[in-house]
Amino acid sequence: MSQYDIYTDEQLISLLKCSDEAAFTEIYDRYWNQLYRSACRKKADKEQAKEIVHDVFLDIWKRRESLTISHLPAYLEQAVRFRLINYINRNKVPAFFDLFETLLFSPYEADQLLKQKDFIKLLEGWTDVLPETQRRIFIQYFLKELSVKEIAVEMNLSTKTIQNNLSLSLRHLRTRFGTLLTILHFFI
Amino acid sequence: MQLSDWHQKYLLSILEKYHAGQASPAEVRFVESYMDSLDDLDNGSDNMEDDRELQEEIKAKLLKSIHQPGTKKEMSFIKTKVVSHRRRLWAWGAAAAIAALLAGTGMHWWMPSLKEASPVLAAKKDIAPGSNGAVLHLSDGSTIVLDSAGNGTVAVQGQVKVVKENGMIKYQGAAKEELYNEIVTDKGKQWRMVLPDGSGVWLNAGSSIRYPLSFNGKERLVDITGEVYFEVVHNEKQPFKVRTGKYVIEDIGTAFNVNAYADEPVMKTTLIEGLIRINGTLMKPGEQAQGSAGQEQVTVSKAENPADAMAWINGQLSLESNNLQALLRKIARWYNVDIKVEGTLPETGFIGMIDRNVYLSDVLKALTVYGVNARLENRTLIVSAK
Repeated sequence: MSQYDIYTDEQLISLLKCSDEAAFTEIYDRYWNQLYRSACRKKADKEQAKEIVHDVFLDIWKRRESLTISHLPAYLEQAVRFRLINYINRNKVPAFFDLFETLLFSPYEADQLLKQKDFIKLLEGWTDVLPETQRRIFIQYFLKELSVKEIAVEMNLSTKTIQNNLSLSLRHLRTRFGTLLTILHFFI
Repeated sequence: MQLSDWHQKYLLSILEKYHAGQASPAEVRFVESYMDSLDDLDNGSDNMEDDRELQEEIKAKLLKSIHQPGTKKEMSFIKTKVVSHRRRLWAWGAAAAIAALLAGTGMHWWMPSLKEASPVLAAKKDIAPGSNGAVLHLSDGSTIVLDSAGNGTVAVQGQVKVVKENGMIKYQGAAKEELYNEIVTDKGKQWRMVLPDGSGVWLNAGSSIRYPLSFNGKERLVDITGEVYFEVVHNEKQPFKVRTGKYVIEDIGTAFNVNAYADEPVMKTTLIEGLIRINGTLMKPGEQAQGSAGQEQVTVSKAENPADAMAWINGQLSLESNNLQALLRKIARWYNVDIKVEGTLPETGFIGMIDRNVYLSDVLKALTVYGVNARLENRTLIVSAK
């Protein structure tokens, strides 16, 4: 059985299609940990993560004959995301919303937390999917959050410290949110 | 600060659409970047104890599930699925008065599941809702069935690759020659795609769009039939134009829906965002242009309810304008059935939305509330007054 570990993913998938259980186990051994971590990173608790891993693999076994997989890790990651969303829709995993909450209500904190690229993508992505009125409210709210006082309270720092940093960070945020600011000016 | 109910519900609704494969490109982008951010963010869960033990625990359970299909766990999962599917029936079956009260607030409410067993359909005769799928016609005349094609490159035409990803297709590379592709959805199918210029396109059931592999000319012209929703990437120097029959819709930076089915008496173009010109007439957001079959002239007026035009994008069937016949045509296209009407049907009292992810029997159950009976014979739906 140990010779299965020399097979490529593609070879394993072909074997899986012929109901080769050892190939299936090898795929599991190869990727289970990656999937488990992926589910945990997306805030599934341990029991949920276990179930998601279980269900993803059970599903590829059940559909082994009709599977078309071009890149196994990507396919499995997508499967985890789908399962996870299904889970969230049924059980409303509160931790999953934490990042979202931070993004909406403490954008400065979110900015520190996330890579620059991710942060911009996420904010832009959110404004893109909002209905028009909500978009305006959000953008206004978002910038209001950046007032000195609110940031001070938020970050538990003195107003003075914030002010020292403010010109810098505001300029830095402004360059990032050129578009958002343009839209905002339009409504002010 | 607490996440408001509205925000949480809105995020959930986007996730739900994503899961059902019915999210808009913007929504897909958002969900994916959210997940990516979570991936990049976290380092805390990396110190995991008992890796080995966990690996064997899940494996043992997995092998058990494989060898004993229909174990308790699996059963319970299936049950949840059925229940949620019933619960998702949108409440368009309730009294019109209450519905009218709620109309405009953007609210829906749940209808308690109908208790009496449906005499209309036996379970095995039921028809599943439509699904994602389309046929791609290449410039050389060959065709590719997109629903069954795997992810990755599905076709190469000259320098241009057609790539399937997340249940949609997009184009990579530019063509110098004037080559055209066409996407066609059958009844019971819908499809979304990104045009070579980056514009997003949704095709409802029984629709088509024809477009060049590269937009090289002075304008970006596409031809459509049926119902198509556009989110156009604006480019002043190369205006985007949609042609259907005698109508030409010119985009000025925009999201709009065109309903031009051959079996609909009226062509309807609804502007959701931005500006468009239809046969020369300028339209503003929330307006709808209507043109009678074969007539070049259009009338533009404020849409009674612009959400009606967007219902299908959001996975719903709307009872627009109290029109039962129009609803029956939508059912015919989405559930791929023929409709036969016996006698005279009630004209009024229809209002609301129904989820179009449900089985046909659920749709028919809701219809009985309005005094409409329907029974299925093969793939013909025979509709009569109660």
